[in-house]
Amino acid sequence: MNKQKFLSELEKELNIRDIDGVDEILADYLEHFEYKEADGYSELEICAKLAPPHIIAAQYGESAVEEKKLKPLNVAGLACMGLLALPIFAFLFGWVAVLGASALSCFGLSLGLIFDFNLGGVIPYIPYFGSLVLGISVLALSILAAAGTIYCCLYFVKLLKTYIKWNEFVAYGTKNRNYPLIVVYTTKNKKFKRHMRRITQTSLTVFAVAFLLGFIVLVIHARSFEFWHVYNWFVD
Amino acid sequence: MNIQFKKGVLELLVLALLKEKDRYGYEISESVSKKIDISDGTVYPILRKLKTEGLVNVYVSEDSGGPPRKYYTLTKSGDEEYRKLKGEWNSFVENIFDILEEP
Repeated sequence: MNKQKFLSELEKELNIRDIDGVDEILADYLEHFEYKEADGYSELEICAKLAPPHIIAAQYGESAVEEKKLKPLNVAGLACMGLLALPIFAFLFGWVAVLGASALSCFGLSLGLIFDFNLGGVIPYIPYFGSLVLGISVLALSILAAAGTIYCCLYFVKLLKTYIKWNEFVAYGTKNRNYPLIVVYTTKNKKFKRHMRRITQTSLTVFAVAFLLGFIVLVIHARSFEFWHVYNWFVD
Repeated sequence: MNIQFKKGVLELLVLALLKEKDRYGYEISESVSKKIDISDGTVYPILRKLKTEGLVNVYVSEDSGGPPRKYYTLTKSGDEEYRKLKGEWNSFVENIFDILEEP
């Protein structure tokens, strides 16, 4: 048996037994394979030493034999909690929307700055070289904001899923509760984490450097530290 | 070695390893496998059961440059359970020795 077949068999067996948190269990075994492979074992050897999937799934099922019956008083309480939770989650995802909108508008602004076209006369006078460099800085900022949007969105989604899971446990009065971990980066998506980290660090650096450069360029061009007065930026 | 002996004592071993220091899943699995001949992966369902029962907690941490790992740590009730199981195991083994030594 190879890794793929083992994991898909395990997934099937876990689902048959209606076991919670299948994703996390699979992540544990995927990690096991990766560590073993790093130690020099082949997939076949690893599978040979592992108990068969249906036996493993049975072990997870041992403590999960509980009858699912709704508790009406709990459900009523949860509904009241939900009234509180709703605006909180609305706020959190509203924040994500705001961050996303900022990313988009920064992106639009950066295009205007870099390619020297003025959308609706919003952009005041900036000598082109300064505009180009500041444009690059704002472009980097938009990428940073986009990365932040993605991260916050993923984090809040996990938060929401855990909240829903809690609701399920309380509604049924479940004794054995297994909550999913509230982390954005797990073993399963470490490549994604690496990309995100690289993108965030690069765009932060580009933003800082380009912003500083642009500022200096404009100061030199305007021959004043308050170049925005020289260019009449805040004058009607 | 008799499989019933091994299964009974696994929970105690996992708790003992965590009493020593926080560890991640694979680390516990390998430590146990080195000393006792059992199937790999037997440890993971036990860790989950311990987590469910509130005897261990999980946190994600990363060593510098390494991937994020799930670390297990003993809770206060886990520590109490460990002492209790260890005591039970010790008296169990003592009683067995008594019986085995009888001619």
